[in-house]
Amino acid sequence: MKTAIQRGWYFLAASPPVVLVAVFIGFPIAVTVTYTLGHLGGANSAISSIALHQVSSHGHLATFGAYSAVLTSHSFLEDLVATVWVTAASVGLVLLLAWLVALYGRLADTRVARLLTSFAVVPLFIPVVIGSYAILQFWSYGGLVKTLAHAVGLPGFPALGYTLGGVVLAEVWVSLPFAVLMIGSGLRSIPDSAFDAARDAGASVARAAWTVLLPMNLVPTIIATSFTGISILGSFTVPYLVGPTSPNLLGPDAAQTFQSFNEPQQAEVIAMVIFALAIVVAVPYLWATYRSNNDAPSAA
Amino acid sequence: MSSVTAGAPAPGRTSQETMAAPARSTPRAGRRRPLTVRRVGVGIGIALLAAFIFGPLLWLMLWAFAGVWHYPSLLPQSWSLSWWRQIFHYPQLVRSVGLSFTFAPIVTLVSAVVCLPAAYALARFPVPGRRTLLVVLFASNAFPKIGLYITIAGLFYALHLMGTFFGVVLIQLLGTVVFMTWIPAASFASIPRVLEDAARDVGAGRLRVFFTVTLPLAAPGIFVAMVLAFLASFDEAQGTFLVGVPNYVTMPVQMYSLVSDYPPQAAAVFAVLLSVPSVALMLLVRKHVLGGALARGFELR
Amino acid sequence: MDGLVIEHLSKSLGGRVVVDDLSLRVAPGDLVCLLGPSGCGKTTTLRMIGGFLESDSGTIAINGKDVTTVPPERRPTAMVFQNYALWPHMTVFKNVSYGLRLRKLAKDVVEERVVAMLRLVNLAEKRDRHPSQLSGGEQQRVALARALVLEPDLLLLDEPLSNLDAKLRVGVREEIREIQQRLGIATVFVTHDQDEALTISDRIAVMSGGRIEQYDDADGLYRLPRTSFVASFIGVMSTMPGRVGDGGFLLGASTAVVACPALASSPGIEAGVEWSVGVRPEDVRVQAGGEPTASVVKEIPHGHFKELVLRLDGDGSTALRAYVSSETPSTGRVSVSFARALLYRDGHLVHEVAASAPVEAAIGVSRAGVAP
Repeated sequence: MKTAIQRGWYFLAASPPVVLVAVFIGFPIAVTVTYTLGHLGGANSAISSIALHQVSSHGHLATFGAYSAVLTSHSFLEDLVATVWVTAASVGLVLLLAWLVALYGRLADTRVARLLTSFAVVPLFIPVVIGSYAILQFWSYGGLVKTLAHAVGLPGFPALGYTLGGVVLAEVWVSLPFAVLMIGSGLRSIPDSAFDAARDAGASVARAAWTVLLPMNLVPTIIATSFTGISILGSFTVPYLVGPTSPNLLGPDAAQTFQSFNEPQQAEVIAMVIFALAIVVAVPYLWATYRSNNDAPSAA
Repeated sequence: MSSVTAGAPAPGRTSQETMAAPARSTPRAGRRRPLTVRRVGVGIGIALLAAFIFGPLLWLMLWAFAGVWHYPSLLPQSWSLSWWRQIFHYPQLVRSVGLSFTFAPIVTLVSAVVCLPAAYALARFPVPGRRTLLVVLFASNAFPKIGLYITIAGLFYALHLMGTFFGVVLIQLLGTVVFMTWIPAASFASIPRVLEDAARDVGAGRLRVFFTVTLPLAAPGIFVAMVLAFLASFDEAQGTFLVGVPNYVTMPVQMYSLVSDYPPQAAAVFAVLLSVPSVALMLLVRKHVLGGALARGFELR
Repeated sequence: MDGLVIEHLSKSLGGRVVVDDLSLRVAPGDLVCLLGPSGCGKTTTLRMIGGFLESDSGTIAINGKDVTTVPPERRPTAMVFQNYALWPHMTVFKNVSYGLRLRKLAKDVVEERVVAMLRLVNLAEKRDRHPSQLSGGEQQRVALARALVLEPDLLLLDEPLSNLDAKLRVGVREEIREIQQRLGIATVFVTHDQDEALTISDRIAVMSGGRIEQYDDADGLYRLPRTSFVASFIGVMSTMPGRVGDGGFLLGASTAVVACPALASSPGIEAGVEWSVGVRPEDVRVQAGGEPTASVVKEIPHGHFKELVLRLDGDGSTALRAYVSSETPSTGRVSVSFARALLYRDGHLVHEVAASAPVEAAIGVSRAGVAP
């Protein structure tokens, strides 16, 4: 039996990061919500005193004026569409590549396969600013890709610097390590025999991977999907450096709205939209971890 | 019907001698894997991935040593080390290097002090509302940083943290909390309790057990988390820009202005410099990261 | 027509020779055990038969067809894995029907065959359970059903009983034997448990260091272990250095002669040559009367008989084990004689010293050339 005092101590030991997060992330998010709903005083007075084009609730509970202003703007809608498709394309590519690398690493288990996994993890350790800048140079006009295309007689090959296609490439580059680690670690925890048994029953390698390894490795795949999706939705550095001026992703859009147009309220509305999208992406993750905790199949 | 020939003289790999008659091809001869379409395909795939990952980095390396380089030449027309010398003549650049190497270790240490006890508690004790705490930490990760920083700016003004050293540490700290809690928590949780019980059994006290058994076994996960915290702090630009400018301009913040205001050679040299600690740390923790210490941290248990 | 034929199979893993020039035949309908200590290469051999490992050299043929380079999914083999390898995300029915569904059989055919197979292993009513909801014994039977439903030419079992508790193990192995005999399917069974091997196999291949030491039925392995490794691995055998003389053996440093009347009917055994003498405990005769040659060191009751550990006079190092009836008085000093003994040299059986059957006639071992 644990006494209430003991439980109190446990909670206290676990609390410092939670308190930190509550004060400097949770509270600001709550304040942000009130600000976007038109509350300009209180905690918002400092920021609202320097802001342009604010919408005030004038003492009412809330006004959606800031939301309707942002959500109806043409450039915002363009950026929203760009954000959604760039995120979807990047996540899809990341998952495909990560599965190929992890699967090869799991099944081949040769030195080459291990080397390949090490390769795929390298971007985790390169600062995003550097990675983005390097990718920009590499795929741009004057970069290696364009130079090679020119050398083999394809002068019409598109330069991907400052395009959303380039953003997708850079997001894949940045996100690949985490997905490879997540999916690869999951695959390693599946015993050889589960795969061998499927082969024994007559399944080809591809078939056995699809019918046995994928379902058994579903939770790590979902985790990789959610985290990759969330980080791309909110990303700033990659689209800021690699992307076009407009339309670009919502991350740089929000930054620009704040820093260049001095419209923090509108910037926060954009942030809330990103947050809403991130929550949608996070639902499968929460569901998957909840499920895997509650009816995790006992070791078979 | 059944017989054993286990004692026969070993034929070894004498297929050449024994294949006197050309009539039969032995399957043994065919066992040397031929260069199949599949193997060529795998080879091309690996080469493409390597080019995708390393190509941009190598391209940047070339730029760092380039003098004159015009499209469409595959290599620079002339080589030069001039930017390596010039970069050290800009005092603000030199100062940013020093600042980056000051903030990153401090943030890493503070993060460890704040998060590691919590990680242990979450892994080992029935903390009330444990799952909720983990989900709250996770949700804090889902809110876009830029939105957060705008509001935090207001908060920091009120608390007089704007432009202060502590303000920069705090803003960088926020980006490390989630994995500094999760990854070590998973490492602690993966240590079988019997190992600790066995140490208690032979007479070690709680603290001694923690420092001689638990901590060494959890070390890989803690190590990976600390390296990631170091890199996150070293890499953080957006929040540092908002809170620190103009007093504290770290290397990545400097990088933004270099990219837009200087020729590619300067940015390339600076980028190579900025990558050195990352690459060194990568070589240090590569084994643990690939060993699953990182991945384990993200499965909420 | 000729079951499984393995010829000159070799495999090195990590620079170590795990399977060394191994040849083996399994007749159709036979159950053959690969028996040996861990690391002897038995599982590696099984995995090569199943196609999960590529051999370095040698051939494997099943029913006349060379399958050496055929991938597992196209081999007529089915394997039951040590940990069963049931897929946790599929029900019992889905697990068993997986292979049939791959073969694109009609739905009702699949249904019919799976249900019949589940009935055979007594699991018909658990078809919609998930593996985690089954007991160890039930999981084992699902794994067996999943292998058998494909009607393979060859069934492979990789230590299928090692995860079950002792009591269940005896029941399940009898069940496996019964189903195997009913279906008449050639089977290779890997185990390190000699009891398991001796009780269910038609023939047993005892392996050590990647080679087959002896391939025989249970009786032959026990009565005439051809190498001292097999002698020590199967059953209990006391082995000690000794010479022939005076109608008996001079063992170790002992000065007393241990009588062996059967020596009289085994002519041609050189006197003065050093043998490794092996004696089964039931072949040791212990008498309280007569001239004592040994003393009882320890007595272990086994219920209807008891085991004595004896020390020969003048020899401190050799422990001789004997099974005697529970009534035999067993304290103090006794006289010992051998009813039957096996003589080894360089690890290989050279002579059987027994009243009726000299070893030369029984297994064709010549005195000079036992070593291969």
